[in-house]
Amino acid sequence: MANDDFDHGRRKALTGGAAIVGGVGAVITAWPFIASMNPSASALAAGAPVEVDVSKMQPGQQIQEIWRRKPVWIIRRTPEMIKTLSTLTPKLRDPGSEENQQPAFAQNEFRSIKEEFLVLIGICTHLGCSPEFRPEPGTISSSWLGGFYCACHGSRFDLAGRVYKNVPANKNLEVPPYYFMSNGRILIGMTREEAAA
Amino acid sequence: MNTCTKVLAAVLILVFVNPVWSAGSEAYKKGTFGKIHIDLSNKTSLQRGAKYFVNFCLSCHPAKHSRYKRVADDLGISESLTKNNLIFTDQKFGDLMTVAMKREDAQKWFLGIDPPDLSTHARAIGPQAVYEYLKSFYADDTRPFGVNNLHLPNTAMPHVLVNLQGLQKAVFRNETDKNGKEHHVFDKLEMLQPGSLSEKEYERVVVDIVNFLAYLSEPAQLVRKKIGIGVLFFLAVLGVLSYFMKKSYWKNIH
Amino acid sequence: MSGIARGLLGWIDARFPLSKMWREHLSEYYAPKNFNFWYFFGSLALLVLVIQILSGIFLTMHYKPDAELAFASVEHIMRDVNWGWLIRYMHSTGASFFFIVIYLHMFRALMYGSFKNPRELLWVFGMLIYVALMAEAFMGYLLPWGNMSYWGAQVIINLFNTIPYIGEAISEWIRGDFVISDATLNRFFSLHVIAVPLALLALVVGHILALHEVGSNNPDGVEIKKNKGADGIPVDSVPFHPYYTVKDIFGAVVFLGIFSVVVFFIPDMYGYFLEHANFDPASALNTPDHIAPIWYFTPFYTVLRAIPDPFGGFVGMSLAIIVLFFLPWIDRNPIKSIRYRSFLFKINLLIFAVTFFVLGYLGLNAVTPLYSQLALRFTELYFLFFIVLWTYSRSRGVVFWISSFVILLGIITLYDVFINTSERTELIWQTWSIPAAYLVITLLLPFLTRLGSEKEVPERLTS
Repeated sequence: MANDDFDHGRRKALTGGAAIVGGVGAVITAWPFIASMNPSASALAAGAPVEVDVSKMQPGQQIQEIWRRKPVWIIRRTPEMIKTLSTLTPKLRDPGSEENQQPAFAQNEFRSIKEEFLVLIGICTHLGCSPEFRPEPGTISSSWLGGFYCACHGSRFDLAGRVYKNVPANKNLEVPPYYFMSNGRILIGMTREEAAA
Repeated sequence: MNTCTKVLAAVLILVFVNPVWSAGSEAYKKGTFGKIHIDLSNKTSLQRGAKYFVNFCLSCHPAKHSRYKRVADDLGISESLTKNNLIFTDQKFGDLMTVAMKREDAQKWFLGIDPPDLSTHARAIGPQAVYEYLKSFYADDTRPFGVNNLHLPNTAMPHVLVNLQGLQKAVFRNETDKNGKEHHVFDKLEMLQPGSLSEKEYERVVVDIVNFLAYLSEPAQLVRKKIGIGVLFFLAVLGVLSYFMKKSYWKNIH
Repeated sequence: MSGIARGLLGWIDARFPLSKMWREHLSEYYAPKNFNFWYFFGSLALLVLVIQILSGIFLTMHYKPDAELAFASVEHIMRDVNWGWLIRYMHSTGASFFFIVIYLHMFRALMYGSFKNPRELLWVFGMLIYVALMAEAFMGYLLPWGNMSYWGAQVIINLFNTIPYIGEAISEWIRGDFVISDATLNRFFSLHVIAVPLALLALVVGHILALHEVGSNNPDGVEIKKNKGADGIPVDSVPFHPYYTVKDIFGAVVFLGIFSVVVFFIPDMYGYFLEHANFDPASALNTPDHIAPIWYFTPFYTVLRAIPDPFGGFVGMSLAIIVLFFLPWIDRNPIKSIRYRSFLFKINLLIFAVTFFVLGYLGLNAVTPLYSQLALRFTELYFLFFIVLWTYSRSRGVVFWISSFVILLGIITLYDVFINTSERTELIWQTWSIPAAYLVITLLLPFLTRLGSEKEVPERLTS
């Protein structure tokens, strides 16, 4: 049965070729199955950008929105609140927002487009609890200047969502992409550049 | 074998030439108004169809499995054009094409019948049926909306395109079949009050709507054949390779 | 093989019979070298099973087994889920192709006598797979919750109503409600995605183990194990791997080509694979104009409709499937392959194949007086096939042939007289010629002609 005149080279080449082409086919076939697990059109539609009217917000007030099924906070900061930000630098882990936790427009002391309006994703960067807004100074500790406190594991953030040193969380709260459509209206979920594109 | 063939032939003749099977006298023969030709590559027809659809159909018929965004993306309509021309409610771009009308209201207005959801209905009844339906409305005072339909007798739907097409009258004549029985048979449609469009223009509107509904019933149609050609080409290559691979292994097996 | 790979394999082999299984089932499983076209369908059935399981897993991620949501979730898959349409069409096309492949696989067994000693249990395993597959397909067909899903299931489950005394209780138990409802959908989902697939996998393993225990049959129907070489290996054999693996790979690629034509170009197969009425959602108030089961059930559906008494129809349909289990004990002719059997055996098998097609065709169409009469005639042919097959088990005398002809035709004629009514008379006697001609050919020609003579079976494979 096993004759010596087997054209081994040809057989090897054909087997190798079929294996490669077949392997490529298997990988391509796997793609639709893998891609089917990505967010569907309905998930994307549910996560579409959200318009928020901030014109009637009082100074010091917080409102909550939902974007991509996550809580988003908008806080209209008072001038006193804004003043606290520059005093905290030595106590913070990342005061200059070096870590990529915000769009480029928010890489500043206020972590916002307008000093007054802070927009944050309300999810603790430690293990995903939703922190509380605690603006009253002296409540969490005697030196507390106001900020966000996560009751789950005690992480603390200042009034720009910047994380304190020596707490479980090690990143600032995330700033979502957003822009002012007009003076009193914010669109959360898209930067101005993305909206123009 | 001969007897066998004869029996087979007898069976086939019985099956296909049997009078019970082919008989049937209807008031109106399907296909009287021509055949629709679906052309999904005609994007402008689909775009016009989408416009007619949201204007004339979507107020009562939902397409609740389809999203505006998908239609816009597939037909090459921009987001702002869609928002300004296709979405009449406060719905968002990514939303499903539902109707504002309450189900109970719809049932009350349309003789207790839910206007069918049009996202899949054209696939259930076929584009030709939709085409004939839209072309065969005629005046009938006995019906609540003053019109009846040849394709779907006693339809619960008003003739929403009547201002475009105009109102037609159905002419029937009597015919005697070979058993001497009289039948009331449909003869032709005649225009009573012309609409704003000529017959040719109205034909185009109907074709656009049916074309759009055919697309809407299966949006994947736009891509699946193209992908299929690629897949078949790939399998042909693999087929040739595996054929020669098989041959080389089996060369010495006799 | 590199040193590391050999080391790893050794480590595994000391703990798990990996190399041993590879040898027993592939590289040292010796199969007859003369497999033809018909021998592709076993491995193709396995391929379709894999396609169904894979696509099914991904469909289950997006499907919702809830009467309010099911239809919408299927459309969600078709429109919103990335590539969902492809996965769904693979699954719906796979269902029909499963039956095409299985029917051809079973017909192969009929032609070459692959169910005969020592392969009876192999055949029974295969039949169990077939029945499990029908249950799987039937329950899967309800899940899209289209109008045909709904009414098809309604009609089929109502069949159980015809069982005397306990019928209604049984069908209510199956549905969990008084009609098909959310409860039915939910349990069918559970059975379709977990219970039946598990059973199917176990049965397939049993089928393959039974096959490898006795060895494969072949188109000559000659046992290759009777001619072993000095090394103990059958002379007329080749190891399954690589010879049949490379051959089956080629078969699989051709199959995938045909499969892809349907998936990408005609996924509804003109209403045969995806029935058009099923694109409208289930509605308890609105019956489709014409309820027909999906094509692979229609031969048996016709048997059901051919018998006027409802319970009788149910029994007839069940018998049409059950009789197949007993094939190894019906056809007792020692010659396995069609190649060496009589001309009349070939004719009988051909008529059976045609009968199966005609029954399938009739089941797709609405009942007319002619069709229901033809349904009865072809149901008669379906069952007569097995009786004739049994008579061909050995040579018989003239008396045997004549008396079995008279008895069988007598029973059929008596039944005709019994169901005769004035408006059916003409049809009954016109179509009476069908079973009569069949019985003349199969039971009278054996002694009137030499068409019943069989050929000498060779000692070894011929090609």
